[in-house]
Amino acid sequence: MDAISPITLNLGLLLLTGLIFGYIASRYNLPRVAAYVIAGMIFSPDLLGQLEWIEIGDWAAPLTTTALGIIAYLIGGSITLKQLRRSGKIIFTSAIGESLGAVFCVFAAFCLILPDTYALSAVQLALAFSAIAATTAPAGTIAILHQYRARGPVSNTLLGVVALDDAIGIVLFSLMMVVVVGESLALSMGTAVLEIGGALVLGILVGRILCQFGKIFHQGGLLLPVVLGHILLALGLAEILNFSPLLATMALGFSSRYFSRAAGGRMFIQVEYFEELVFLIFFTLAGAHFEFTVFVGHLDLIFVYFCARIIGKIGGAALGAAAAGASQPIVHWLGLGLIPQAGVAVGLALALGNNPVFKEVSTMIVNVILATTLLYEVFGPLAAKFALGRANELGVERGKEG
Amino acid sequence: MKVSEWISRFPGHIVTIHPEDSLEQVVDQLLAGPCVQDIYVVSGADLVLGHLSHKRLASLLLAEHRPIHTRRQIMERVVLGPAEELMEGEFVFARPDEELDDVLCRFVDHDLQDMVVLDAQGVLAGGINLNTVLREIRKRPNVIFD
Repeated sequence: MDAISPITLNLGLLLLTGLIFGYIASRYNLPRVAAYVIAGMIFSPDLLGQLEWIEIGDWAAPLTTTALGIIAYLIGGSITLKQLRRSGKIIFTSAIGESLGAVFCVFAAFCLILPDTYALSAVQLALAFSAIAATTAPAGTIAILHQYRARGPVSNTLLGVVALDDAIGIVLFSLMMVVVVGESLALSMGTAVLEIGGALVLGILVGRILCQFGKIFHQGGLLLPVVLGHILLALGLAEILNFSPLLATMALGFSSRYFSRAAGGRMFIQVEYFEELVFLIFFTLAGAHFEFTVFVGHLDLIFVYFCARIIGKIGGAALGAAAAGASQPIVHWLGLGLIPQAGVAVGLALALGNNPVFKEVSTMIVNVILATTLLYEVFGPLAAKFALGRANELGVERGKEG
Repeated sequence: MKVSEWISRFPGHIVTIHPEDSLEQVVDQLLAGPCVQDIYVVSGADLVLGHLSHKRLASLLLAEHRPIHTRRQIMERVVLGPAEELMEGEFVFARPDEELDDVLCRFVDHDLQDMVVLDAQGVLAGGINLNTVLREIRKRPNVIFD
């Protein structure tokens, strides 16, 4: 009993504090994400973390892996092949462009400024940061579109791109893990094929089985444990077989929806309720990793990551949209709507810390991603509103009619 | 009473649409009749392929008024497909040889107003309307199950 109580107590305190802070923030129209982080900070080593019974340690790793697996499953199942075909070239090339743009700019900037004083080489660290930079947070963008009743080609393209780019982000992150963790580039190429290909095959196989189980246990109450069981199965098998667990669960989501055809949507409805819980776990855990000295000591990295990712998103989205022959407003303003970064990025940063290769730099990575996420949380919605305004797609603000 | 006997005595009207119909066409069908809550997607050979509820259609039509979306809902909003992509392929139905008594709880469990009756090949054989059942129960509580 004594052995497990600190874990359950710590987790319970973390979640409840986060929920209460989030509730208070919502009441005053403040970002809930920031409230979750501040709640987590209370348990950081600088504050309550000094107490003997507060320990956010190794127990958090399987929790983060599972939570990220659930998100990857939802991302994989968010689109069907038919939707992908119908979404058109502009959304597809813009999503590829802005994801790769952010990756390239962050990688280049970090290669230039990172000193060789870390446990990893500058290139390895730059790869890690750049792989996280591809993801965006749809929630902030959706909130602005809703608040200002935005309509038009830029708004529509923006919606499609934010729904797609986390999938691209997870693929890039998985590739990065293979390259950085591999001992040499030549060896990495071989293991990359095995880890990526194996994960895809595993995800598709488990997705096929999930589809069959979904037909047998079709009632709502039974479907949830069936889906969660398959997510855990895919994660566990991927870890044992040294495949990418994120790609495996993303392939699981995509394939289970594909195999289930018209019944595919119900494989996700109940799991989608977990998304807020997962992000609550990510942000509070990340907040608990906050260290003031680490934060102050890496202000330069925070600033460079913040600027490089924005430049990459804007430039990449413009190039991607232009390549598909998009109209001028889309080419000019799409990128500014893609600034927000939140739960998936923080989850990926926490996942890096679970890998022994990143052990010594994990606190630094989490602190940089956390600080920039908070900055993006403030700056992102303002940028999206500005872009949609310049594209003449803003309507009357809700609550300010007449 | 068997379901087949019920549908011959009280033939319920099932609203059907084609798999290729757009959301707007489906909603027009929904609003054409009084109090239609359930629409069924039927192929050319009267094979029932799926179900669309009033709530599902309303949530699709009012998507831009929702402040929070899942990624799945975002894609659905951006690239809205025809009825066959919007429908629920796993749906509740009755067989003609079932006892009506065994079928009625499905209305409550699955929040249905009109339930399709399918033959062994999945072809539409008729429909049961919940209000008709309730009306008969109020008139003759013990008779309809005999």
